[in-house]
Amino acid sequence: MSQLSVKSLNVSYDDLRALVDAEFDVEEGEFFCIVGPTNAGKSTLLKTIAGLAHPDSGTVNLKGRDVTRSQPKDRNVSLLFQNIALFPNLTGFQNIAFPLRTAGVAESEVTSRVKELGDMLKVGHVLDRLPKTFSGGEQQRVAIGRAIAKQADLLMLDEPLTNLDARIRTTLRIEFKEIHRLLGQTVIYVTHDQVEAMSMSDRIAVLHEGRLQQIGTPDEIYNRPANRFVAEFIGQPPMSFLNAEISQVNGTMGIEIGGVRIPMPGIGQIQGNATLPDKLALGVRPEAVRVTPTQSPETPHQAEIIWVEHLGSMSVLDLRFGHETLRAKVSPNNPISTEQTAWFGFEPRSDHLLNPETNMFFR
Amino acid sequence: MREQKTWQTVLKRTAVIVAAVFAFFPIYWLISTSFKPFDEWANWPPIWLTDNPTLQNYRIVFFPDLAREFAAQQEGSLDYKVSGSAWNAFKGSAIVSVAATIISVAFGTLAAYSIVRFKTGGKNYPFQFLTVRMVPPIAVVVPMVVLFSILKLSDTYFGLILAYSAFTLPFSIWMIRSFIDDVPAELEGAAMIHGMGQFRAFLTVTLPLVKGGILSTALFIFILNWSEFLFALVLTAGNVVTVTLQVANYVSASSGKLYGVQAAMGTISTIPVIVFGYMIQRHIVRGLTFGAIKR
Repeated sequence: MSQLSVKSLNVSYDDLRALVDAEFDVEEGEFFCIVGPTNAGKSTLLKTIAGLAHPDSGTVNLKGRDVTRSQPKDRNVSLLFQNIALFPNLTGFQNIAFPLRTAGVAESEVTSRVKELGDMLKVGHVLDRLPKTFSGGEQQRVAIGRAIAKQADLLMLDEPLTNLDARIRTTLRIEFKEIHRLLGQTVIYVTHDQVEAMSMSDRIAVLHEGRLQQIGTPDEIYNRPANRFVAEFIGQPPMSFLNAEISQVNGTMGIEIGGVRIPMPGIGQIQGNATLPDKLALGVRPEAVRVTPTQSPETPHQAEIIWVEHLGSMSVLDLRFGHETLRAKVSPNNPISTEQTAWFGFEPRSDHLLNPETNMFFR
Repeated sequence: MREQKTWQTVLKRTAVIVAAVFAFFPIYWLISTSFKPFDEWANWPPIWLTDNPTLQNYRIVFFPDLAREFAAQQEGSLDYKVSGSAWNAFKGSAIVSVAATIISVAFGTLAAYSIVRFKTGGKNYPFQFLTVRMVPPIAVVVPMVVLFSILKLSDTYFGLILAYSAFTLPFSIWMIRSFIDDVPAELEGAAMIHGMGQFRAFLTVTLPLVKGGILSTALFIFILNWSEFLFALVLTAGNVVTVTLQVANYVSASSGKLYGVQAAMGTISTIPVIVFGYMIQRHIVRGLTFGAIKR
């Protein structure tokens, strides 16, 4: 039995359909990420699971119990809001103690539990102060303390790192995983940052314009994206898409891109399952592209370098051949980055062949 | 450059002083007149500060009988025929204003909460409340008199309280709505997720945060009630007397034109408002939610 089971959930605000037929399960103890751009419906999804927003249709099941119509307090879930939402008139201690006190936990137990959490989250020194005196990191840690004070069946975190600066973000990211490991709690973590999603989760759900695009492990999402949106959203720098046509190269199946013919034996396999249209698109991950200053068996095609971006740990090149632009990731000391022209090559992957009409990959 | 700046400062300060004089002159004139003997009330040229200050006007306000005896002994003084003392009027105004303020603010808070959190009535609903106040009160006074006499509410405290509550409720809703709007819904959401029902979350989380706003609204509504004249005049007949009615009583066919006494009564009647304002001034602070939410 799943810890959380969401079935054909629809939520709308006035004319806006915030969530369309959302359907997924989260297993006990899982770290489940929901990732998507701003206004994808991520916060709406969390609020609906928490009972703060009401679905037009669909059900929410927690531990096999239908809670779709239950009040938030009767669901035993916890939610850390994107804007933190600490009670401004209560001290750090009172904020963390809040869920325990409303649950009627004995005061001596409340005190020891809050102290314990304060130490664990390194906010012991701010517990007797009001939130307005906290730094950004302290506010977030106290809010985490409040969210985990009571053992909930489901802990939901809504973009908990978005408002913080980069240094605290990295620290807290590790701490979140550590807290998850310690408590063994089921976590739904919402973010618009695909790096956070890739690095932290057991499974990822990609949400876009209120619709779930794909659910899978980070590896599945990265290597076998369901559609063009997922492929472009996950991965930095994003996947390039090249216009392609099917062609024969010396009797073997292949594709032609911008006048360049590339053999691709896997194509026959796809053709067995689906009829391929004349016009196709091929997705290529930047790290799959090899670039050299001179021609080699691995880099048989010539291209013009139109843009170089030095990022310290890597350099990103934009290669132009025919009417196509291909992005490549190379090591920063690769001398190619100062050249005007270069030679490139890549292994086209048949599972990255996309139907440009539907923006879905052929599988 | 520097000279220009000095001139700007001089101009700005002058403007402030002119505005202050304009605003405070009636108050000065009120207090000044309240201490003048009767023959100086309406002199020409005006007497700015009397040379013969007297408490006679205040005596008439509180002890009309005593004042009448005193006046009889004074040569050339007016014969004061003032109906009743002001005590009754202060009592009446206190009962009506306090009760109507409490009712107006209590219901205003609930209505405002409902409008903000549940979008009750849709987008234009709060505006519809305000339109009640766009009708000049004098236009509804006659039907009100008829209605009140049918309902046997004329000349009762309850009737006047009801009328005042109804007419100040739009202001209460409108003002408190803006304060509640400033409290992020997430705060209540957090309280609800951590074990509270909606109403309890409102009472324990939102209400303490808008306390200052509600008290400011209460002060504003109290001033409206305390200084209301028209409804008090037409909906009462001697049993219920308010401060404003008593002030009007000092100028009548039977009592003459007791401007000084009016001024004394006016001066006294500002005191409760000032005291109330002073009591709640430390609560009249906005921005209490600072530090709760990152926007």
